[in-house]
Amino acid sequence: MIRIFLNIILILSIFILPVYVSVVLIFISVFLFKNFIEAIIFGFLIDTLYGSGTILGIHFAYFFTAIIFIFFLISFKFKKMLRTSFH
Amino acid sequence: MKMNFHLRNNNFLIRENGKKSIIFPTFAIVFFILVFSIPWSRNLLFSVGSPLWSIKNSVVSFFADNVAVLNSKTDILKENNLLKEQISVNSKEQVLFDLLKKENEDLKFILGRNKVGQKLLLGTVLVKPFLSTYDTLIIDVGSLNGVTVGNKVMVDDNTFIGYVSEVYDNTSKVILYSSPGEKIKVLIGDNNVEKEAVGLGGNNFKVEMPREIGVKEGDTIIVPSISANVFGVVEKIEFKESDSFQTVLFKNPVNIAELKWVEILLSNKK
Repeated sequence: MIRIFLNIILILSIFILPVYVSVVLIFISVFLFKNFIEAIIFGFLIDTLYGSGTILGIHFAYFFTAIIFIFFLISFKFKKMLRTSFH
Repeated sequence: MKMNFHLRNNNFLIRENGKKSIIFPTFAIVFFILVFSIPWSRNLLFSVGSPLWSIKNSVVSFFADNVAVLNSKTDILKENNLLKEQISVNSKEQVLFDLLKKENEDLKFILGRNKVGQKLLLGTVLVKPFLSTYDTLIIDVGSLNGVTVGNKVMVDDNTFIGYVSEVYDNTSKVILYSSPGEKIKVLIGDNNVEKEAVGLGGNNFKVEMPREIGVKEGDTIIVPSISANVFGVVEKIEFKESDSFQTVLFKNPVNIAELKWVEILLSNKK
């Protein structure tokens, strides 16, 4: 239930809040929830809505998708490390 | 009595989870790229966004307009006096500006180069770069209003700021010329030297040119067009004594953060 509520907030944040805020919220959600696969879809939404096809002079249309995807994979390792250290 | 317990071997599970962790996101990305490659689904996405952006802009402008109420009376009076002075100076210059503009239009009319047939469409800015990271705008006019990909976008009838890159039914995406890596031909200085300006983001541009070409800070930069326009003003010139080239840095005079409306120069193909 919380997850669904958070998904709605994140979708709204993509439309209403600055992208930086949405990305930070997505990062936090990735850490808080297990397999927060929606994050990648949100990254893709940001790129589709606001993307110009170029980022920092490089032709790449899916900058935020890539960033969030990498973060998503890293979070697996990081979460595992945290679990190991706490147990 | 001491008891030993076998530790559970999780290696297999971890490996399986690891595979799943990569397969699912990859599948999701591919699926969504495919879905949102279809123009219809993109159009739907922008249709959903349009009312949300409008509501957000209304709320923001409501608060922005009412902030002044909280200011002290003395501050408001000071600002009022300052603005009155500014208006009186500007109105004198405006008379001359109107006269020259009229003369310019009359001359173009005599020479058969008047702006008749050039159709401008007013569009409201729904999303500005502050919200969008990329140097893009989303405006509230689309294909139903006659907007097509490639249409130039202007502000105040004389400043080019970008071009339409994607068009949907009621919304369009505009890429600003200042978007990093974007290139546009400009004329610099009193001699109108044609060069290619490269966007640096945040309404900034740079032009590489030989040092022999005399450019100074404050020079106007224009876009080749029949109508008078201002594209930028030279802010800084950088060069090394050993280099034969100089880098001219300039800024578009329009403040994108305060932008509410833009004009789209529609093509006359119809």
